[in-house]
Amino acid sequence: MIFHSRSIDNVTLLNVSGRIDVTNSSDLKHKLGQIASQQSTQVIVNLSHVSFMDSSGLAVLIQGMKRCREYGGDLLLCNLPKPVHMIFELTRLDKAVQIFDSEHDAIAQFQTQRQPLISGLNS
Amino acid sequence: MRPPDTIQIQLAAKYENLALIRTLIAAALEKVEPAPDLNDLGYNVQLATHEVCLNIIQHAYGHENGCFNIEIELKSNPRAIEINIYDTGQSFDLDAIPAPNLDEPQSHGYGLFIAKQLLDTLEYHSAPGANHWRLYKQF
Repeated sequence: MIFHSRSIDNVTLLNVSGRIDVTNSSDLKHKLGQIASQQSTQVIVNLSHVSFMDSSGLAVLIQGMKRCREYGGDLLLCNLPKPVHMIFELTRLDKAVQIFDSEHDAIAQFQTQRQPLISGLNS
Repeated sequence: MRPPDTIQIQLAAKYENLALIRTLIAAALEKVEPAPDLNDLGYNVQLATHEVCLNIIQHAYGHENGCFNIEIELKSNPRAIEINIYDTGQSFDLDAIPAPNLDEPQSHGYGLFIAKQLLDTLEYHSAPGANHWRLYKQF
C-alpha cells in the first residue's frame, strides 16, 4: 500500500494505492491516526488506485470516519473503483459514509459545510 | 461435457497466504471462457474466499498454528466455481452469528456477511477436527 497526502484549504487529501487488507490495514489506521494528530478532521480518502479491499480495510475507514466526526469533522471517500464501491453498497455503509465521484466534489462538500459557519460568524 | 478442473493445495493458515489463495482462484478462472461480468465474478469469489479464510485464521485457529486444505473446482453444467475449504480449528455455529446491524455503521463483523452476499451458497459443516466450508457461485 502506498500513501500520498497533501492539504488543500484545511482539507487533508489522502491517496491510497494498492491492496487494503488484513496484512496492511494497520498501516492505513496509523496514517489516519497521524492525520488526526495534526488536528486535521476534514479528510478525503481517494481510493481510485485501490485494487482490493477486504473487511479489515472497511473497518479502518469506518473507524477513521467516526473519529473525524467525534471532533466535528468528517472523512469523505472519493473515486471508488467498482469492486470497492460494491462492498460499501452490500454493507449499506454507502449510506453512512459520504462518497463522491471526484476529489473536486468532495472538497466542494467541505466548502459547502463551512459556508453556513462563515456566514454565521459574519452576521 | 468437459471434465472438471480442480486445484488442491494445503497451506499454513496465515495472513500472508491469503494473496496466494486469491491468485489460485484467478488462475482457475483463466480457464473459463470469457463471459460478461466474469471479472466482477472472479473478484467477488476471491473476496468471499479471502473473508472465509480470514475467519478461519482469526476464530477457528485463534491466530495459532493451523492449515487450510483448499479445493478449487470449475464445474461445467451449470458453469460454476466451487471452493471447499477444510480446517481443523475450533468449530462454531454459523447460524448463531448475528448479521451486522446495517442501519448502524460498525467497525467489525462484516466479513462473513460480505462472503454470504457475494456467493450463491456458503455452507459450513462443523465436526471435531474437521470443519468444512463450501463456497459456490454460478457464472
